[in-house]
Amino acid sequence: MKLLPLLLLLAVLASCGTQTPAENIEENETNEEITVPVDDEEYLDSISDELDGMDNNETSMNNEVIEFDSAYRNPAGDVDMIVKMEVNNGVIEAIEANATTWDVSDFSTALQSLIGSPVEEGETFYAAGSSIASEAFNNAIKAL
Amino acid sequence: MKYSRNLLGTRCSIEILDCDFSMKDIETSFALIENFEKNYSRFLRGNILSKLNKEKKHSLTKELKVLIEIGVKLGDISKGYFDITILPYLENAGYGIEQERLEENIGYKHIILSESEVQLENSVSIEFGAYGKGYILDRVYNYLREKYAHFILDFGGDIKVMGKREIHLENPGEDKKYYGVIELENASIASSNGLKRKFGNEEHHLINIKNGKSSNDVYTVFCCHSKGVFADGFATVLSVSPKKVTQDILKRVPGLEALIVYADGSQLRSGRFISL
Repeated sequence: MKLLPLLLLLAVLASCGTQTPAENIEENETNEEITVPVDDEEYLDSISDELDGMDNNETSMNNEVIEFDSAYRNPAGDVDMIVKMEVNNGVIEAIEANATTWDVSDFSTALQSLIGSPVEEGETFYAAGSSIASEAFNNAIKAL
Repeated sequence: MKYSRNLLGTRCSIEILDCDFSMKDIETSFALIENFEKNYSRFLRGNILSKLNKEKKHSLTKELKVLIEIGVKLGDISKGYFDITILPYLENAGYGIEQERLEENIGYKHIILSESEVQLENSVSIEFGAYGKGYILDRVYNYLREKYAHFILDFGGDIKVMGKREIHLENPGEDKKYYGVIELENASIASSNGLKRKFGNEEHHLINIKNGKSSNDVYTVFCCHSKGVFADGFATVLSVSPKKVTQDILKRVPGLEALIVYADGSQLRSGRFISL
């Protein structure tokens, strides 16, 4: 029991020692009373309008670029082919194939025939002399 | 000068670039965030969200109604891949409760909204973690734009800019590696990935509602929209949606632009991200 006042004193001193200076950017630096603005009716209405608009907008397509992995293996080794295509309303507007481990420029040239076609046509695309690359491309398109 | 506080489980920063500004406006902005957190955080007891989830019904304010409607719409438009009743999965992270028991209490179709009340049937619970930060980002933005022409809000990576600002798109897995830079003007950007909130080696907060597991098909997502609530919400939605659903969403949502990097290295880009 005699130790109780001493323990209390130590506790008080310890708590003083652990106080750290407040970061000046953390604290309320104003002495003015802060009032939280009420609900922003105009903003809430605009959200509701946009939510409704999502139901009626199925046909207004944004352009999009799809870049996908069409890697395959040919007799000479692995080909890290990446295909990039620009699509508008489901129709291919631009397309190119690139790889760092094999020259796929002929295949990329052949892909140009898909411009103006629906993306789905890529699933059956065939480039003469590039059957393995064509198959890898078909499978990658199907997986999209 | 930038003013920052730990709120919403993250670091919220407000930087007003105009020469003169009032500290009262900064404090009011933080008060808005604190008030939202107090009302809708799923980590606080006794608030509006907690009461709704406990009593399974609550009277509707306009704000609560709109917040719930956003979640329902994100569920519809993502064909159910996003679901605001996912709370049991989030709370189960790391606890190993059986999938079947969790599934019983999930499904945003069990949210019944009337003019004055919301009811949660089938014991579902809801939470606004996917877009709450974006919502309050907009509220603070709307408050400050009445007074200032240039400022930047950064609530843990959800950014909204009044004026123009270049934004670097960081690869979340590699320090100082970027997918590119875009210019933001009076608009928002949000990103989402599973790398920064992991529960274990593979488990994180972005959950595939169809199997209850963390979704690892998407590596990272960046979304731009004039409204922070939609940039934030769709960043989460696109993180858990398959490619075909994502493509459909990008067609249907006016003003939504996105860069999605998949785990296999493929990318899907729309809007301003096309030119990266």
